[in-house]
Amino acid sequence: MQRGNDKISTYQVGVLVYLTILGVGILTLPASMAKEVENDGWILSIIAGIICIGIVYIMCKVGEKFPQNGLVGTLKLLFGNILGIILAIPVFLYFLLFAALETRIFGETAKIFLLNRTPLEMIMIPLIILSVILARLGIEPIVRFFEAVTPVIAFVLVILFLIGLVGSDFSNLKPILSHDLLSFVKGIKSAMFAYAGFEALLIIFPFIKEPNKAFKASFVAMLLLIVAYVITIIECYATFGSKLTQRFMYPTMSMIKASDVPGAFIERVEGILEALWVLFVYTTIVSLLYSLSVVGKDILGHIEAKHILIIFLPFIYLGSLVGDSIIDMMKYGDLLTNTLGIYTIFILPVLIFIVSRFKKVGGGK
Amino acid sequence: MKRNVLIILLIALTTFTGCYEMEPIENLSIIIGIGYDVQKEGQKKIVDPIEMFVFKGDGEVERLISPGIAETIYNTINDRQTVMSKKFLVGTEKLYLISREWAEYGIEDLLDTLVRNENRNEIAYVCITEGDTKHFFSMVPIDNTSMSEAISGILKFSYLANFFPKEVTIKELLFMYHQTGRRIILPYIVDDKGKPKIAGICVFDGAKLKHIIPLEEAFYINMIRSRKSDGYISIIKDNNPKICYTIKAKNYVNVEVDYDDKLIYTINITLKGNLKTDTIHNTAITAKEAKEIERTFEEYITEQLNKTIEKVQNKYKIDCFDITKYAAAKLGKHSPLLTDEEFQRAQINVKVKVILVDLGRSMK
Repeated sequence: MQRGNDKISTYQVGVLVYLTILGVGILTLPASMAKEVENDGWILSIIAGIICIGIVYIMCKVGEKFPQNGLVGTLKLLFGNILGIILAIPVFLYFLLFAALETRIFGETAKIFLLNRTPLEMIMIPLIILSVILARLGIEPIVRFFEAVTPVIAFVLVILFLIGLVGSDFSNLKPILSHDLLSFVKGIKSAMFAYAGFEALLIIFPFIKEPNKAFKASFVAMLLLIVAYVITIIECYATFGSKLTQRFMYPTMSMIKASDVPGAFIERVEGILEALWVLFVYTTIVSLLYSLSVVGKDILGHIEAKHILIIFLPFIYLGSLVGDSIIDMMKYGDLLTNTLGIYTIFILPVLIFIVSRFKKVGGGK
Repeated sequence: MKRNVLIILLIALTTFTGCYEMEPIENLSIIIGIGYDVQKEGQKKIVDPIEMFVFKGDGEVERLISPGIAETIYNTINDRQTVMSKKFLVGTEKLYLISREWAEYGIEDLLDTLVRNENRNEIAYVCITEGDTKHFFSMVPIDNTSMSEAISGILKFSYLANFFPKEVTIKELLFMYHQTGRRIILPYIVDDKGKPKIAGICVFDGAKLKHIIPLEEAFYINMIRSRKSDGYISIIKDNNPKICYTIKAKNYVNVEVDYDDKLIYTINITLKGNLKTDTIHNTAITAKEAKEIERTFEEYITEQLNKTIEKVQNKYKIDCFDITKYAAAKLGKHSPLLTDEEFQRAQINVKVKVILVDLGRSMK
């Protein structure tokens, strides 16, 4: 097998960002948006997406300034060795806990819709092991795999959108903009975390062939994601209305289940889509685990990133078992996003950006 | 060495991942219909008759009705399982029957379980029955294998006449209950000489049945609330049914909402139809006469609709036309104008347009 040079192209950056973000969020997003602003949830999703594009821009600017250092290297350069490592540890924990959370949510949904009698652990363990196997190989095999599954994922999304159109009543979206600005402001935080995953950009800059084009690729990826999310939310509202959407834990899956494919030659479509949806989750978890391994390697000063995954594999599994039910997981998820999430996605990139401007360090390529 | 480990692993996986606790079909009963009644004697309890297929072996399939009696929906399973010799499968049901008494008592628990339980079949049909649902399940199906299939077939094809809406499913029931400005309206089935028959519609107030509207009035209510459904309309001359016009029409409805001290609904109904019978004219129909027939139908239907609207506003006093949702869409779901009182004092204007697309193959 020809060994790669561990550099990825601009297109691959876009694919990586897109598939990292597209995970379990799409299942619960319509419900969380409906809880915030009812039928204006799709507008909130667009606003959150635009804000996330702004944060991606800051991350890309930081990455362009320190393309060879990586996240931990940049933090060490700006804040010193010890403080740099201290600032990187929450990022490491964030990736570890986020991967555990994604795994658990996937396990719970698979148990509800697909594998009722399979123990939760038996659903999660193969997923974690397979994710670690791919994440160990390095960035280039990861993005090549992502490129390979992109057509399947696109196919699943198209089927999802088409099925959602059956029996829709788009008058459920009215009246538009019936909520005040404060409701949107309050809802921004939960809407933004639906786009969580782009923080992997902080990690992969040393591996990008043309770092100055990373923002262009990420921007396109974010735009496509915004479109996908907005269509999903609109179709859920058109199918159920915002009030019933709020009641569902997984409104997207319920929408597919409630759709009646004309001709009735295919039934239980949600089973097929749930099976293919594994890819959505797998790509997210692989990306998170890879980011985790790179940050862990730099923090510990280890040579190989792949060993970090083996060391922390049990912690990922144990983290995914925390909480007795999905309600507990959602609570921990909120705690994670309110603390480490805000730090990793917002505070840290802005801090690096500002400090690098003041210190006038870093010069690009 | 690695290959051996892999082979052992594969054999172990295929051996230990098997059909544990799976039962052969002879030990299964497939639920095809679920009913909900209220036990009339003694303390109010739910009677939950279930129609199911059981497989007796040698390709023999039998229809069985098994009731469960308890205080709550799922406690009836406790009761039923004490006598059932099979394991039953959910998710295969085609029909839900709710008795009138239970609907009047309230169906909140059923609505919650339909949302919460992902195994329930959301495209099963649902209706309200006169009397016990067990009575309907116990009828003898003539051209179906079970009464659930027979009744679900009646509901499925009800849109072909009387302007019944196409969707009479659990999914639509949940939408009607949860969407702002809407209320649950379901078909009402009675026993007509040992056979089930749609006799009207049931209108709910929240989760409780409030009114049962007979088919003659429901015909015009359906004309307003449904979309692209079919119905046959006849105008009889001089009280002689032999001398009449009859059209088969499909309704296209558009509702506009305005507010001027009270809600003003303008309902534009377009009926595109085919002329099926004309025993009033004896000569070849000209374009002018076709227009005259259209105008006759427009006047007749407008008059009938206005009578129905007045009756609904004054007698039933709740929105049976499913038009409050348009006010909610325009004015917001928290608007104080979405109440029954506002509906009663609203001005509802109906404009009917009849278009005869096809006069048939007769020249006369």
